[in-house]
Amino acid sequence: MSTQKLEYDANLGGRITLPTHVSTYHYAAGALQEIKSLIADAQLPASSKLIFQTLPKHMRRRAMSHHPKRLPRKHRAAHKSQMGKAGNQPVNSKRPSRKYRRRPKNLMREYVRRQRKHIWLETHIWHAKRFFMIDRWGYRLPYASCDKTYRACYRASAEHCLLQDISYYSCVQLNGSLELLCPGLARLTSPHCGLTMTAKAFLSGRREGSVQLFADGQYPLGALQTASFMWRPQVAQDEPDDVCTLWLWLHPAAAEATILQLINVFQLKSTKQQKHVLPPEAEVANAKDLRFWTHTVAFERHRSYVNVDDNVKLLVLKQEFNRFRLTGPRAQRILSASLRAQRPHDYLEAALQLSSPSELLSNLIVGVNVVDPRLQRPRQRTKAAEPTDRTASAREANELLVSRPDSLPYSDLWEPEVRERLGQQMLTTHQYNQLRQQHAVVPGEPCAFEEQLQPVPLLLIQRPGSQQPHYKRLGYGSGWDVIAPARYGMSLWLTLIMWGARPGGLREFDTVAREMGVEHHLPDTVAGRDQASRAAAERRTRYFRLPPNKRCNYRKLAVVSPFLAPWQQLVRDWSPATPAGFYVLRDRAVLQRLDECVRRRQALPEPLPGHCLIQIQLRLQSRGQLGDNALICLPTRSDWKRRWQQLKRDDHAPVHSEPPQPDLNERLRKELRNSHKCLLKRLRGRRVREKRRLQETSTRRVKIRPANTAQMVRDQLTKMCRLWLPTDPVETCDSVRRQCSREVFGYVSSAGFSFVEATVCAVGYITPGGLRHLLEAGTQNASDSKGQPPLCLVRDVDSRAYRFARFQINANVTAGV
Amino acid sequence: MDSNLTERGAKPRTNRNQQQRSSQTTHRVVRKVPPRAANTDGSNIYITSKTDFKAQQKRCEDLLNSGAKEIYLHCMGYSITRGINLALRLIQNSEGALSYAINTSTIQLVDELHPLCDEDDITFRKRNNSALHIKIYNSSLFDIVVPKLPAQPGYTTTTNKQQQTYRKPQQHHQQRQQHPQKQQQKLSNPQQK
Repeated sequence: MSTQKLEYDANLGGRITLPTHVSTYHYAAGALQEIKSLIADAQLPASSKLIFQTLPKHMRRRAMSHHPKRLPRKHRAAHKSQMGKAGNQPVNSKRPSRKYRRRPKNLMREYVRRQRKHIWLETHIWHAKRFFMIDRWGYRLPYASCDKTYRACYRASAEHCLLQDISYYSCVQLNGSLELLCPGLARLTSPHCGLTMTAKAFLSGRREGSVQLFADGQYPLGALQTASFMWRPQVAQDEPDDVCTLWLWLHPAAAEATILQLINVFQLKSTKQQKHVLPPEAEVANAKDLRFWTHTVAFERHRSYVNVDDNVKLLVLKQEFNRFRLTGPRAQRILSASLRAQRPHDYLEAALQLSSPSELLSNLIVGVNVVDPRLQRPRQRTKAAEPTDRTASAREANELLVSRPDSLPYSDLWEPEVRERLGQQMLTTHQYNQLRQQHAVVPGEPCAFEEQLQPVPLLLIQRPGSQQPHYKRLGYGSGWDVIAPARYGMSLWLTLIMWGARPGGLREFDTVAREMGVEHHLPDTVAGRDQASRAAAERRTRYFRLPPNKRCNYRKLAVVSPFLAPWQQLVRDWSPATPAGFYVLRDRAVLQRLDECVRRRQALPEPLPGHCLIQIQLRLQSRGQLGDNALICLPTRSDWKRRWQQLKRDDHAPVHSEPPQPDLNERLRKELRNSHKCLLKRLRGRRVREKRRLQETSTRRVKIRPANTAQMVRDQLTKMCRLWLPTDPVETCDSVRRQCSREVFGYVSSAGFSFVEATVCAVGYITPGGLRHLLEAGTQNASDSKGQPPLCLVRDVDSRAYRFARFQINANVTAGV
Repeated sequence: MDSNLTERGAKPRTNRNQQQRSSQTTHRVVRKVPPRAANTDGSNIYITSKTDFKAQQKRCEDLLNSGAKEIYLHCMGYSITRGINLALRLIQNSEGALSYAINTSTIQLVDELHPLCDEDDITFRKRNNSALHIKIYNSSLFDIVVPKLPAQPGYTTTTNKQQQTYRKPQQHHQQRQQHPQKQQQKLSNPQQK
């Protein structure tokens, strides 16, 4: 293209030559300017006419401004908003009739529309009829039953069976060879916190493990969440496959952050934009320099990522599985009643005959193909019967624990094609019922076609429950997790419910965790921070909804942060250097040494990092109530003396009560309130006078001007709130440690009455500096007996009473999932 | 975390701590399997060391007062002393109306040993624990078993059988009773403290 064409202008002797080609970016830049100006014009039309006035004459109709139906449909929304701005309410469109709304097509459309904002679980509609639903972590989840079932749910978890839907846990699948996965996963975990993901105890796929995940290389800071994981069992034992598959079950609060970390660690790229390399012969045939093209996947069901060499793959299997959690010893009965293995499964049948799930190997995985759960329902809701022969002796139970068949964890659920096929070929409930209508001669009796229903692969995962026999009931909270393929959620759920399981919601997770003495979301994890801030906002709004004479005056109570535990400031006050962040101590060896020291009342041996927190389990000694964010304080010598006097007299009064502090803001609040009321009154008087003045000259009736004081009132409220609450602990040093008459060295994060222990139990976090002070003071006076756990003072946020509580260090922090 | 200090003092000394320490280098006990209850009907009571002593006593007394002829107390390991205390207390309070028979047994337990490092797999440890089964029954002479009205033919024979089976152990225990009474004197000392 070297020859330059002569243009018209050039012939005439001009100097302008048109180029033979235009570079795309010049062209695009020009086009961009044009588009910009077009958009600007469209957004801000110069004409100030109303919509219906802009229409051409032949499209105008009578009373168009009044009735929007007379406008063309595309103008209606704009017209409505215009009319609304002018103060004229446009004609409200009537709600369509119930009959119309309940037509299956419209109903389904409505459901799809409502799921756009928050994802629904498969059991959503069942739950929505019976439970309070809340928006959490991008899902719409059941919180608690509308019935009063708080204690019933506890009983179910202790003696019967509590059933919860935890399908919102998202599963992430990692593929790759072990040599590639190992170093990457090691960067996200720490060997100090217990077994890592590639431990031999988990690699065979027999057991599910749980591990604490951290941001890449930031241990001990940057905790993400506790995740449970399972490896795909190798098909052939002798020749191990070099590609391993790992399922990570992530909590939705931190799932995105964790996936991001995984992507960074393994250097993954999304497969949404794919490079399609042409086969070599096509390249020869075309003989052009077209090597590849990219194409964007219009819709991918599951997000997937690969690395450059295409040997590590990450697949986010969101909403691919249903996971139901059964808690309580009767889970055995319910599972054995509702799951009938397609082929005889000796181990599972024998295992489900045991009296409690905690008698099996902890975190055992059992894969089983069962017949369709719809066929296993009782005619009406009944308790699953006790096994007829309780002959399983202790020896047999021990055999079940020690020796298991190798084929136990295999399941078809690991195959993506099988999962796909299961979903497609599943007989819907409607089809099933129609078939039964045709074929069932006697109602309620099994039909011939039911034998041809496809079997459902399930994964059963045992949970061992509480493992601290000296603190909590051994095996409390044990049960099974059932993983079912998508679309089978509702049928399995109904079968389990029909066999007598009690459904629970999110509230029951907290209850069971509290009864077990563990915490699901530690305060330094993503989910923990999220939960704490949400709870704080809730408490704050509730506090200011109360009338002023029903509010606790936290300034008088000397509580510096009533709604949120100020971990960062607590750590700042107790550590010599100013730390950047705080973290929960998870190092098992250190925690065990600490525990030993605390039990033997020795001074702490080693210097601990100042910005860590130690998880403790508290229980109140006699009376008193504890709520979240209660203060954990150091007792003084007078408290010990007082305690001895009280023990002698069998006195249960609080050992010390906080002297009420003066509230300097009280007068300010009063003045502010009075002045605000005065101002409002004055403004109103001004408006009234103005109206009267206008009325004198006018013949028509004059209305009073609107007040327009909304902004003023809002400012007043924020000012008032600031005067009500204590000053933020961020501003002043030592404000948390010395906020009241006893030194604060920790905070309670979750507390409540525990039915298992019949007393108030709590989980809290303390600083190592405070613990050292406590132990030193304890060795000096040696007043409490050595066999017992040590004592500390606790005070609820809303009260002045300090009471003694016993505490012990939780050495296994990550066990609580 | 137990409130009952006297019983904590009565715990028999074991060498389990030393055993644990030796195995602690590679393994540690994470999980103990809870003992199995063989029978869960009303007359079998499993003694734990955590339940309040008074509550256990009341439960047994209520059962006996409600007409149960015999109850079984099962206790294992650490809770044996507590079970014996409970049985003796019941008998003492009954003023001669109750007597008891004791059986001992050994229960096999399996603990899971979870590894501390990644290279090891889970291992199991079998251990034995001693258990005590105390039968407490009504031994008063005035407690006459009244046969129910013969509603069905053949019912009387079954009641006869029941009486036989009921009386048999009674005679059997009366022969053995001298031995447990010695035990009773020995064991009642710590309880009085």
